[in-house]
Amino acid sequence: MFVEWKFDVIDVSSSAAGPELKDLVPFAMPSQNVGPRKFESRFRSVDRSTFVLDSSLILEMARNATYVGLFGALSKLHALDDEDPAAIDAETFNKANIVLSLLASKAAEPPQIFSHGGDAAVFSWGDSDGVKYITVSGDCAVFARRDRGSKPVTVGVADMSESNAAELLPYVGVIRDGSSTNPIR
Amino acid sequence: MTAPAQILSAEEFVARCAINPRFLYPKDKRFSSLYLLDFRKPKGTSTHVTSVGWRKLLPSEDEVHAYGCRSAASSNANKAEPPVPLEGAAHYIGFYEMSVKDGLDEANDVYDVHVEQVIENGEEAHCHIVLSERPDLTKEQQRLKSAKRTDILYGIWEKMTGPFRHVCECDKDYSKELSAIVLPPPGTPDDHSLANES
Repeated sequence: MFVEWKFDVIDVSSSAAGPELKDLVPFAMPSQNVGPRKFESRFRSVDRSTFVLDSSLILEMARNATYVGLFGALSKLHALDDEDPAAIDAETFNKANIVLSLLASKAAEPPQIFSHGGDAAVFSWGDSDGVKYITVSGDCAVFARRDRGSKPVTVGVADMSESNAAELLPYVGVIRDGSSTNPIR
Repeated sequence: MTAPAQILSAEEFVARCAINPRFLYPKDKRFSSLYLLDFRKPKGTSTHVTSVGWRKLLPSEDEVHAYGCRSAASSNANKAEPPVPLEGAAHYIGFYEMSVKDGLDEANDVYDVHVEQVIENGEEAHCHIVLSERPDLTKEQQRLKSAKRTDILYGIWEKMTGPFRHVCECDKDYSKELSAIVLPPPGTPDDHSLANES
């Protein structure tokens, strides 16, 4: 007997994000689709004891596992001796965790991590066109991109002095997810 | 009296040695390959530096490799106890090259960039790429300092060439392991498939 699970519509087309900034962070989920889309069955019961996971759920699980590793990697950097050039200070560590949490919650493709100068944690995404990166330092997060062969461009700066994650949202991209209609957020 | 540091001209070339395990990337793919540049901030200064070898004094690949092997050996000799190979010990495994001009071109409104000779352990080829803060920065520029450094590091990484791999004579017994350490082509995107495996 098949039991198909259907969830409500997630409209990802009309986010509150800035139209250019939402392109900054690559999303594993299709964040730029036009029009409403159905979130199809997450899994089906083949019989009463066997479940087959669909590919989107497997991808999501893998992504979540990667994020767990990334939080651990940040902790490693914070735990390094102060003399180590890769170490990050407490404030940067705390704010970097907020940014990473936001990226994870919005299903962004997992970044790679870099740190420098004792006070900077960097999340980056590279592709054949160049690199996009967020530098978190003290109370601000700076979103930038560098196209191959070009000068770097600062896309935006978010003030994190009050741990105001909402200010980051326009830069990270938003999947509109009214809590009452989206069962996976 | 110490002689003033010699500043390298834009026409010069320098080599950045990759000495495992000073950088994190080969050990854990969640970390960016930018760790190969290994910039650090000397205590009591506002500058950030990384060590490079001056190609004018190391004109052949073999001479750069020999310089890299000496650097790793010096690092090991300075440790309190003899380090264990492939664990705590430093191993030189190759170098990347860049023109000084490419470094200078990365200067921005917050940081100036220059390359200067800093003789170390008797190595006349030893130089630093130096990122030095410009004077009289505004409050906003102060706030963006770290991000401006990130911009420079990505620029330098993109313009490097290499890697030129090597296994030192003293590391021949570990050749297989050292040759397996990833030295990514510079400027290439970080490999997320590797990141996701970690």
